[in-house]
Amino acid sequence: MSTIIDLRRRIQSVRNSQQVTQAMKTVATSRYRRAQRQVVARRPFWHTLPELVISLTQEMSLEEHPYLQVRPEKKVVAVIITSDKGLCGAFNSNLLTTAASFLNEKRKNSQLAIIPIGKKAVNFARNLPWPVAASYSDGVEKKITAISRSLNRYLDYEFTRQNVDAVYLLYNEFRSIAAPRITISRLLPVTADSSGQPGGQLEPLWEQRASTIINYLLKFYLQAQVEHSLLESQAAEQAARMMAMENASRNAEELISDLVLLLNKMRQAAITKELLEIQTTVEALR
Amino acid sequence: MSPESSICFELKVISPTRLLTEAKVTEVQVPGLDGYLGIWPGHRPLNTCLSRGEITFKTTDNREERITIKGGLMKVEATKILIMADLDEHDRS
Repeated sequence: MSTIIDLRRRIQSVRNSQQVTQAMKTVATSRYRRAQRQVVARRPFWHTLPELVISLTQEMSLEEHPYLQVRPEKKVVAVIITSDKGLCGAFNSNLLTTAASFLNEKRKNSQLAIIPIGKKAVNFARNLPWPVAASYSDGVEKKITAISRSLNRYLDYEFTRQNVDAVYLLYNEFRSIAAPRITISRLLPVTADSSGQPGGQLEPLWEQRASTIINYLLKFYLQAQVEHSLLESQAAEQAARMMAMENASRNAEELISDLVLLLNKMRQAAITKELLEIQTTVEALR
Repeated sequence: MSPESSICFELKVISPTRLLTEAKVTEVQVPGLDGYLGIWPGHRPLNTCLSRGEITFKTTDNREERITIKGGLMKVEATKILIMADLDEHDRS
């Protein structure tokens, strides 16, 4: 008898967990929608900015801006973006595995420093032998502008003074709901890839000195790049959590149906047993 | 004026957070660093920084529209104008 009660209790507790996962899924869905909207709205800017940088640097044909200087990578900063919270499947662990192998690759030739963003990345960085230049966690999603601004200032300072030779950005890019794509991109130096075709027939006029314009643009570029990757990571995180919670709810459902089946069998067995007992007693009394 | 210059060009105004406008226009006025500039079809290619002010443009169906910006960058090509605008926007919605 006691096992039946135990079973009922278990079913109830699985049901409770299922409710929790379902609620989390709902929350993740609405957050995901918002993040996705932001990412999509920013895409036009995203697609034009690199093009513009490339075409302008080409027309300018001078590479004197500090951001454009490619130096041997002696000192490298890796910015690693993860989420603050877990419960989103392999979202963080995949990224961190990739990050670990990336860092191992880079350590051969360069001195490393790490900037983790998000609690999971901060914990990850704590166990590494390299210095942490800055870290951001707790409520990252609410502080995107502030973080990108402060990071921008820091990177600008270090890179311009040649304390750092390259900056890499590691994050989950939001591709589709099913799977985020782990992206490693070089933030600095900005490389103008020279494959593009030259502009129009006419030499463009430069209203200001070319360097003024490129300065302006690159300042924009750095901050926007960081902000963008933070948003991408966030959209990907919510999507990953949505999927994880969806799976958890489904698993709970399966578990419940298995348990209910077992419960019914046991109850039936108990009833049959009782009937049998009554019948035997009746037989015996006859 | 270049020979193929049509009567209109494509204007695209983009801010970091969204696409503000994409329209066929016949005339654009922008706040340059040294005062307002007017761009008409057939303008020669031009790159310039923009300052705080208002972008005014006239679409092909003769509507006039304005966008207030904090600064930005404009790239004029034969048939295209691209403006990366910096706005006073803090909407995180």
